[in-house]
Amino acid sequence: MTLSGERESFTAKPLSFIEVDLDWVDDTVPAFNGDGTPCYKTPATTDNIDALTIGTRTRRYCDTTAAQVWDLDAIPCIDGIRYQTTQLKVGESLGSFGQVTITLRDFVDDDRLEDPFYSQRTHDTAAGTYFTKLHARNPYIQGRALRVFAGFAGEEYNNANFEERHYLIRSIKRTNKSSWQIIGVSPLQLANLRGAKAPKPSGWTLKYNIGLGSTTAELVDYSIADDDPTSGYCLISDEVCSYTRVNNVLNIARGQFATTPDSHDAGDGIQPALQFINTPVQEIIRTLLVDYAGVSPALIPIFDWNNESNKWLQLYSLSPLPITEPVDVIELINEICEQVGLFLWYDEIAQIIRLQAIRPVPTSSIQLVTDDDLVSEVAINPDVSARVSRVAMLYDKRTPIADDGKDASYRKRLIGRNFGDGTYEHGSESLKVIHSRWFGTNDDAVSGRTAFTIASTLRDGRTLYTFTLNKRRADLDLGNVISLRTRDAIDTTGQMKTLPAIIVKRTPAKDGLSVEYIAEPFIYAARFIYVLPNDHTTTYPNTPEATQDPGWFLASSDGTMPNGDAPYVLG
Amino acid sequence: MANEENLPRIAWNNVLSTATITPSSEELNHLAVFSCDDTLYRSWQPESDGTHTIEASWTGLQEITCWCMYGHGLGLTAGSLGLEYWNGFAWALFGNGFIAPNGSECLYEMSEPIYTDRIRFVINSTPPSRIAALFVGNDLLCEEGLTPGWVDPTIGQKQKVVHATSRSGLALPSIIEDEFLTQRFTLKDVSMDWAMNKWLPFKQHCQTRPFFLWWNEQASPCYCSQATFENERYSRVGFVNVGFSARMVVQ
Repeated sequence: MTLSGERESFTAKPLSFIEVDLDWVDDTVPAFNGDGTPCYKTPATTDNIDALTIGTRTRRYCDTTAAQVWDLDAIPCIDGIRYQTTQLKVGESLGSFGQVTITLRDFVDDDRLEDPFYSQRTHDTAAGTYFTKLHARNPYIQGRALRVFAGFAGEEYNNANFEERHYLIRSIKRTNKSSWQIIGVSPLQLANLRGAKAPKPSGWTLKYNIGLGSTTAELVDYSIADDDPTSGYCLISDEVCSYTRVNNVLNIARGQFATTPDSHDAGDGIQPALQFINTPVQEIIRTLLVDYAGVSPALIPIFDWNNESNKWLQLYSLSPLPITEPVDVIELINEICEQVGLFLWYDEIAQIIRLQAIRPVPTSSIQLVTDDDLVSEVAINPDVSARVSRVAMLYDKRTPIADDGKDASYRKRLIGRNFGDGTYEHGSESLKVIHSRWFGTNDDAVSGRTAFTIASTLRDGRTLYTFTLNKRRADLDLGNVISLRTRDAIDTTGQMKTLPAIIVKRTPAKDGLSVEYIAEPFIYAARFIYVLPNDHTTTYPNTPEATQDPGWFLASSDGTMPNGDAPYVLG
Repeated sequence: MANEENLPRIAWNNVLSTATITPSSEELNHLAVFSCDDTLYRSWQPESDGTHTIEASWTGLQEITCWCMYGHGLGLTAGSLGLEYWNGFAWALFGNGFIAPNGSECLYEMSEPIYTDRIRFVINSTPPSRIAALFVGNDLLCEEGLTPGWVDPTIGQKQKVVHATSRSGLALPSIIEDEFLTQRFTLKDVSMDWAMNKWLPFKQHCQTRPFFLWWNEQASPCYCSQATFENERYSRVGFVNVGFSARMVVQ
């Protein structure tokens, strides 16, 4: 049976297990190192690992209480799996990051499977426990692969019956005498934890004093790293210069971007700057994640990102001033998410980072969720404190060294339209000020769009819909857009109303029977049109997605005309 | 005293744990020693189809009255197995010969005691089948029969269905949770001699180890684990009540 079949089954037996990939020496090595210490074929216990091929070895662990699944070959030592799944914050930031915590019960182990040279040495089976020995032999595990499988046992083990979620190990630690805890996180979380910054903090140091008119500067040799840039902009004290570098000599043009040339002393630090010129927003994010946060390029489906951006974010080819001080990569990406109107999340199943603009979603990809699927009521929790009635955009930064947080650092101020602050609405203004390092002097249009989108979307604050679905609908995942139709949401006439929503959090229940979801209203506040070719005769609701997108319809934000008609085709 | 043929038997002192184990074939992570290491998550599996042996040898003679097996798939592969012992000249069949299990049921085969320093399991299976738990040794014959309240572990196995209903009242797909049978095994009025010499060693050994239980010739034997021994109490002068609770599985 398949996973979808098991989810429909009335006799499914839930089962969870995990796999952990730890470093492993693939080459043939002796049982003992040169100094007589035992080798366990892990990098930490093997001599001369620089000359060896390092692969991975997989361990598999399952629930202590699960039914015995013979062909699974997993050690039953998991006491609990706790998901702290990603919560998307649509149009606000990357949000909180996905995490999974696995509690493992330690046990006495004879080392027969763990010691590759078991027969070549004596063993004290009373010494140490399984996880104490595993940890001692594998002290460096951050960033190694962790996979969590949640599914159903079936008659015998079948990988197709499981949903496989991919994480990276953040830590493994002993929590008490007999328990260990493995924490797995998404690659985005790992980047956050590593404190990745852009531009990379530099150790460049002036070797000699340079005067006001100097156009060359010599760096101390040891301050240069192999992958340091050879040209660009840099910051020396409060002066921005452009430079080209040959070995440790910089040719510099002084006083760039309205900064003032000054003399600098030997020993002064120099920070290469980060600059984007007319760069599409998805390319900026990719650069930040891959080049500065160490995220694997394989996690970024750039073809999909480009498609999304070309269709919905073409306005956002940005040329901000150089960033001259190291800033947290996550902070930079959060700024982009908010100001451009997009969201990113790690898809734990597909192992990719998804990027989506805030945009209308084709009707065909919206999934209906009704009281027939719900096993709980829908808790509707409005948060009026998150209300924004108007946005003030401050942009076109005066110089790269100006304080990002001060209004005076920006040449332009755009006050957006107000929403929901009328006497018979919320009755007061709630102003949000955005200081944008990303928008320049020519970005009036996108600044206006940002101000409009944020205020119109958040005019009533944020609302969260919390509900639980039976395993039958457990395929719904983060980023999916749903139409929630339930008796918990009633219109003014008392009829059920349909809530368009995007799933921002998914937490499987421990027993495998249900999944708890949190969703937010998915509102695309701007008006948009679809345009169709002249020979297009069908009506909008019956139009397949493939022809909706290249076609043109005239519609209001809810996909209808103001009088309730279906969108008008333009032809 | 009850008829000996119907008294319960407990296979707990596995002499395979002190033997030198030599398989004809074993997969890299499925060693033959895993079939007698008191765990179920590790098992023996040969590298190829056909007939294979797991041979055990000792430096001295062992008394063997039974062999047991749990955690196999021989019934699914139409396989068979038997125990042979070295009689000093040749391999001889132990007990009733080869067995072809119907499924994955727990097996418990008894015979008159034999004394040997070599035995071998002969396993025939295509495709190869795993074996998670093997026992060979001298089993414990209980002095008394079981008391009322005991139930055949086959009947006692149960599952808990967790139902789900939608808000609109529709029955939604449910799940099944295995609820392992944990049952009390009680012997009343056994002699102090038997309790001291037979029961106590069993109790001391099996507080942390699994064992096999054969309780009736018409019923299925079971594999017992996570045993909790009850407090022994005098029933009258020179006699005590003994017992344990354990998780019991039959297949």
